[in-house]
Amino acid sequence: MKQKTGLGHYIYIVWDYFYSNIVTLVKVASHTFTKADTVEYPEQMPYLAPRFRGRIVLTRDPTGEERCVACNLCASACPTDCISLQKTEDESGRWSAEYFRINFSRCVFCGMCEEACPTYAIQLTQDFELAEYERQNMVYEKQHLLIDGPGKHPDYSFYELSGKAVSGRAKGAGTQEAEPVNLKSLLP
Amino acid sequence: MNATIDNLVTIYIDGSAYQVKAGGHLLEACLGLAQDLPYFCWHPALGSVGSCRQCAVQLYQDAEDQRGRMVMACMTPVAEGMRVSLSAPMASEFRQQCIEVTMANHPHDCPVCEEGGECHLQDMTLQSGHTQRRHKGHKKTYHNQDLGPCVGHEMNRCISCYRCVRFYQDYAGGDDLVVLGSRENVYFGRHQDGCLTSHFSGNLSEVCPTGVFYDKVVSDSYTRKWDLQSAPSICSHCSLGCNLSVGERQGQVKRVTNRYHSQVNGYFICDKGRYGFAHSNSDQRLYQAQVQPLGDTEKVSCDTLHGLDYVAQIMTELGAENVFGLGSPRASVEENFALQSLVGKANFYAGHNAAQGVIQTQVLHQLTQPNIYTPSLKQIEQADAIVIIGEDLLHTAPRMALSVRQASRNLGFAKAAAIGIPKWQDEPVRIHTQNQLSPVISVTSAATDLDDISSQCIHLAPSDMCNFAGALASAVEGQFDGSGLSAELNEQVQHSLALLAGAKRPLVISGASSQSPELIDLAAQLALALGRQSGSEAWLSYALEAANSMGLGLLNKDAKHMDDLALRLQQQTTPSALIVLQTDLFSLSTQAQALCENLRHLVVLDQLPSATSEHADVVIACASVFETEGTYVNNEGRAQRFFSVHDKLGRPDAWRSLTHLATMVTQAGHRSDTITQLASCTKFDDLCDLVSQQGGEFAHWCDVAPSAGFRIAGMKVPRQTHRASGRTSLYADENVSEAKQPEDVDSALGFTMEGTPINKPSALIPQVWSPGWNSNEAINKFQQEINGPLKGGEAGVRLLDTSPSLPLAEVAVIPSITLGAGQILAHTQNHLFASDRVSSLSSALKQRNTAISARLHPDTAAIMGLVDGDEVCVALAQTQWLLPLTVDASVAVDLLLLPNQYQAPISAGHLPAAVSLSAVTQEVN
Repeated sequence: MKQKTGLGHYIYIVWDYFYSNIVTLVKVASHTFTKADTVEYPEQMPYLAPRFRGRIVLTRDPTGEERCVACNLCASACPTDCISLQKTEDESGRWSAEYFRINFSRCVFCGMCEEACPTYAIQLTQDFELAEYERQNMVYEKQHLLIDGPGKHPDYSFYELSGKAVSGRAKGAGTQEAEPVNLKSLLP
Repeated sequence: MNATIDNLVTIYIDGSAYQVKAGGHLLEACLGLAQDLPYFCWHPALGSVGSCRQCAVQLYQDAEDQRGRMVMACMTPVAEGMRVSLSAPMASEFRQQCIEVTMANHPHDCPVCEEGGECHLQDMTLQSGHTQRRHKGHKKTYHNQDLGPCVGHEMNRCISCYRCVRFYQDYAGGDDLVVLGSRENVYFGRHQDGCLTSHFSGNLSEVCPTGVFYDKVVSDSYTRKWDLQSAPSICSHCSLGCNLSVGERQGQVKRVTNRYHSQVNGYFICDKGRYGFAHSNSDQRLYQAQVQPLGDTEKVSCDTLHGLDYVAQIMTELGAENVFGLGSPRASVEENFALQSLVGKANFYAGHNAAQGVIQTQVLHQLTQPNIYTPSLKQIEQADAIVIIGEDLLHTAPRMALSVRQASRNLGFAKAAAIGIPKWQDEPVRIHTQNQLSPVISVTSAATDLDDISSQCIHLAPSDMCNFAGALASAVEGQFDGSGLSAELNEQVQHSLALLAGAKRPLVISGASSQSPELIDLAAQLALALGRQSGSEAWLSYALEAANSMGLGLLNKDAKHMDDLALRLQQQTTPSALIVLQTDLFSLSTQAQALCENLRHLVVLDQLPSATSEHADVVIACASVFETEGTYVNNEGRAQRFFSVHDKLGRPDAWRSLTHLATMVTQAGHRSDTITQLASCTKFDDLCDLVSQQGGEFAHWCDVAPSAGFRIAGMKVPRQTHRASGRTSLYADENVSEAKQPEDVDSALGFTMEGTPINKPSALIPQVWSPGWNSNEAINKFQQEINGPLKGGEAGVRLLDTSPSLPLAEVAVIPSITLGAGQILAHTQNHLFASDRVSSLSSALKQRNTAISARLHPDTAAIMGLVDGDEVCVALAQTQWLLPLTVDASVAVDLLLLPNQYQAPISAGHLPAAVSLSAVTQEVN
């Protein structure tokens, strides 16, 4: 292929460079007259979408009992393995977490734990202000995670549906449950 | 249907041809070919009943047939040219609908179910494609029962597959778990709340495809299967060497489950193996080292190296020839070998009493005789006539009792096979054979749990047992004229003779708990006689004292034992020291106190405190069986390796402490060959090499399991699952920076989740898992064929098969017991849940250790003026034991049975002995 030479070609190249710079300058300068995208944080809080995923909490069911049943699904779903817990059980057979620990210095707020949770116990909130001077302070224990309310899904109560007898709810007393089978009955 | 077992037939599954074994059924064939086909009621050990309708497949008439018909794979024998489809729409829709109905009443409680994550029902539901619940009606609920400290009950979850009762009643012979109710309201439980009495009840949690029966001990400190760091292990509670999978989390052993070995334990283990792991988590465990310098009155704690240094100083000071070692039948071969190398063969003694020493050399001698073969547990199930002499198997070798129970069905299987019913057709075989059982002759000192399947139960005192065994052996040879036996016993011999007449594969079982070397010898004679009568090899099996009795016996062929040591120390004029490995001297022999007094230094390496460690001036804490690696040789001479599950508690391996000691002693100038060799061992493999250099039975020691250098695709075999959780959080409360995973230089297993979960060698399978198969049912993906060996071959090496006949060691004759005036012969009554220090730390087993009483025949009791329920005082020399008396008609006359209880004043090691028995008169206030 023949190479382009000559004065006309050089003038074209110089014009090309200047043109793109001028366009850029104009565009940047034009932003002087548009509304800012940033906000004056922390004086002014930014808009957070309803599904924003921030600090993780553990919620309670409508009766005020802990929702977490220590099933370990959040821990196994966590891609950074930053959740660990141990199951314990009260006399009535209700499962709960003996300890529940999230290492927020590893958490990527992906929300997989919330998605995996079968009892709506673990939920991500809109709080993102988790900065600490000490990394060790990013390790949250159960008392730091547990909140007093039900969060999202305010009416859901796992033990209402589980079929397991726990304190205050005998066998067969849950939603869509029949009375316990009477083995001595001969009725059809 | 009558095809011989080894014939292969060609079947077509979804158009592809496969060769499968004739005589089996389609489900077995499909699973054996790594096909996924759901099932519930079928279990490889329990056979088919075809009740769950889950394994439906489409069967075609011929290649032209497009429609086919639906059959249940588990009930359909394979036949040449058979064409089936697993993916045919009709069959797969049927399976899906079936599970939808099954799930209609299943509760929504997976998150709070102990089975969640390893649930066969979860797996099969996903496999069949049922994902959305359509049933809007109410779910059935049931009340639960309290089934004791080991097994939990949540009846809502039941899918009525009947596996539990088929295992509990039909396989394990239990009678207190039943099906109650009728129609769709059936209930699997007991007539009333109470502890399940079967010693195999723990298997229910594995047999149940869902969470109706769950492991209560695991639930107390629950961890999901995927979070457990597991390792292959060997049970340390009895001599059978059942394979275990042990799971750990955060430095605590969380659970023990069965690990399949086709020749040893198959699919089931006993409750002691399953629940007897708490000793490893016990806060009574020894920590680091304690040293009591001469002249001081109290021990001072120090780190292990300082403790070892102190021992090295003692060894240097006293001279190598004055340091003795006492090995243990509970410690691994490597640990015993290290101790033997340290003190020298001449100074090494076995940690058992005189009777056990003689029994040990007898057992080795008999089992290596050319005409005698000792069968594996699987082979025991093939015996068609069994004589059990002097061993209460359920309490000394429980898994063997389960195998004997299976063997008793062989007559029925043969009868059914004669009219073309294959063995796996569970119900037809049972209906056809009714109650007919193969002959099992049980000769024991009292009633045993095998009496219900025994054709003849004879309850005799130990001396009569020997007479009976000798008479029966000569009667089988046709040389018995009935002289020297009572008429009653003579009749029993004739009855036994008639029962054994047609046997083609007779087996004799005896064991060490009789404490009678004569009986061991007579059992062998009987086995040889029966072998000659049936024209085959004589089958003989012994239940031994402890997990590594056989291994210790092979290391210590001259059968030197603790009583020999006591004698030698008495004659010793120079000050001496004794290094004791994981043994409590005081439970072994009455001479323990005298032995300790003749020593200047007593060094104990142990994991738990004992009377011996109280007396010792140096105590070195060592790792438990779950924290170290080693090899046990089981009662059939099979060497099997166990591996550490975790190393988080900081107790060093006993073998490593001994090699450190060897190094220190070498540096101080002692340079015997064995010590220098031991000092050169830095890794476990080095020690294994050293053991194999012993030659003889140990020549193939390195083949027992792959060495530490073994890799799959350049990676170690992972102890953790690929979805283990909490790595960055588990210890974040202590330090937010994650520590490096510990390295394991001693085995091919890594403390990591990196590596392949499949294609592992059989000895290195920490737990079974396969895609889509999260429960232990995944074992079918690891087997060459259903019920067959694992794909990597059988783990372990049988040492005695190639061994030349071992001579009897020259051992001192044990003096016979003479009864003084008013004395009675006392013998041990073993109890599975009470017999040792290690299992006494499991609270679940402790609760099942009930009815501690002395037992006596009514006639004997009447002569002594005692009645049932009396508080009696048993006196042996200076020791007295107060305990209640049970009068039991099954106990042999003139025999007192004392329970084998840990820390009892009179331990099993002191028996048999002449004791005096008297009633305790209640003081009236």
